[in-house]
Amino acid sequence: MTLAHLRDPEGRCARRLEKEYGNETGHRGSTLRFAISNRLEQAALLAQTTAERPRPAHFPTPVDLPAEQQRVFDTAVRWYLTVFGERVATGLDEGDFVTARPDLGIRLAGRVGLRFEGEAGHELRILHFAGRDTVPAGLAGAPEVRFALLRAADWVRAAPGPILVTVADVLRGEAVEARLDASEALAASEDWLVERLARIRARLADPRPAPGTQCAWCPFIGSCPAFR
Amino acid sequence: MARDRLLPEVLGLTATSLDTWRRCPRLYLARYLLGVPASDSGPSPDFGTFVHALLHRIHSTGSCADPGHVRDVLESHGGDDGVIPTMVARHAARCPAARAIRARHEHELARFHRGAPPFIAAGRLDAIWQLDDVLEVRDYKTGGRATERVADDPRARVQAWIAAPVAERLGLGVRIRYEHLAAEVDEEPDPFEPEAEDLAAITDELRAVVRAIRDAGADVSGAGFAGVRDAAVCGRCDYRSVCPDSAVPGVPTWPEPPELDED
Repeated sequence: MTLAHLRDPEGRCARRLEKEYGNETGHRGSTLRFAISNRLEQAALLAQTTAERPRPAHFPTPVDLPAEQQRVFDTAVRWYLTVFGERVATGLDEGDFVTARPDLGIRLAGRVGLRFEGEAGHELRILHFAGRDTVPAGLAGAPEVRFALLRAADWVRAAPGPILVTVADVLRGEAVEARLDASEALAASEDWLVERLARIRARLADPRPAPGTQCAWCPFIGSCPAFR
Repeated sequence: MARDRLLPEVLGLTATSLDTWRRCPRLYLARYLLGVPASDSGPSPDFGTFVHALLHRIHSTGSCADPGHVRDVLESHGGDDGVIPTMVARHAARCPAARAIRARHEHELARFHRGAPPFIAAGRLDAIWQLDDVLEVRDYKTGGRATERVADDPRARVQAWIAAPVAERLGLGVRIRYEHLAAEVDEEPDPFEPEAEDLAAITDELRAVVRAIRDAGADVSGAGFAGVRDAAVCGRCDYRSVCPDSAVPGVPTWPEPPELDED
């Protein structure tokens, strides 16, 4: 289950949801559209492999990407450094892409956000890139924060104190930060996960396809009974 | 970039994405393949979207032929002044609801092409009326008339292609009609009622577009997805300030970050 599934359990065709819930793979989609966020997050972690602050030199323009993405990347870097440039910390490896939850019969898959440890204690940075989702006003209830906390649950539990969470839109130049009590935030996130999972499983009871505009981006079109 | 995939194995098409490709391949690249957030403000579609939503509401909760119901919907959604009541009245005079067997509003359809190259076309249709002799798709237009024959508009051709299997299942032909709501448009373009050979031609057109997009994708670092470099097109483009081919370069409307020290 990804953040997208949990954020909006009713937001996609039930057949596609069933396939993704079952961890099936369909035809391959585009990955270049994720290049800006991938490259920036990789550079951000490389910039702070030891306890230091990130500097512009850590973020060279990815000249192998199309020009539009290069320009977006450069703008995003400047906002990233504006928000985080004074924070001395050490970045943690991204780790596994999935977190197994055998107790719930699922795996959580997707980015965990950027994790740091330093003067401010445990720190989580989540980046937006002027997408559909705006920076949430309250971080404790934000799906992207809850998902990141669940993905990094062991690290969250090990925090010596409140976790500094920052959600920043590095194109719109917006950032919100909060210190969250680790155990409280994790418990609330668990409740949220169970509630969302129940809604997802309810939809799996009737996985009939619902042809529509979403089909244009569905990886399971080739086997869909709606198009036989 | 070698590790990243630009194009999905099955390309998704919509009338809008095809229109974008025809207008400027570079715009198509930025919006549909790279997912780059718009760097510049384009013309707002809010008015047209609002009128479409009102018509949907009017039909899904009652009849456009009922003046009291129409008035209630318009008043409760702030659509009871300006040109909107006139537009809705123009629609009511032409609405086929009274003779329709079935109707759908804001209805989504998709059609998969399994042959080479595979692609899927999808779209949301403003209104579909099942009449005695035809499945009529209506596309509400709030702007001026852009074509004399609906058959000449590539957007309509995609709509016809998507709706054709539904019409076939019902044993009907399909008709695409542009319903102009603006009072100044007194003559509507000729509707499109494609025959089998027309639909076959549209299939070929769509396949050709998909091949062209794939060819461009194979040369994205070179001449693939070249921009049109036309000031009239670029001046209204959402990516004019980040596009390398822009004829109207500018400054992104994103907030400008502060200058940074290199240290």
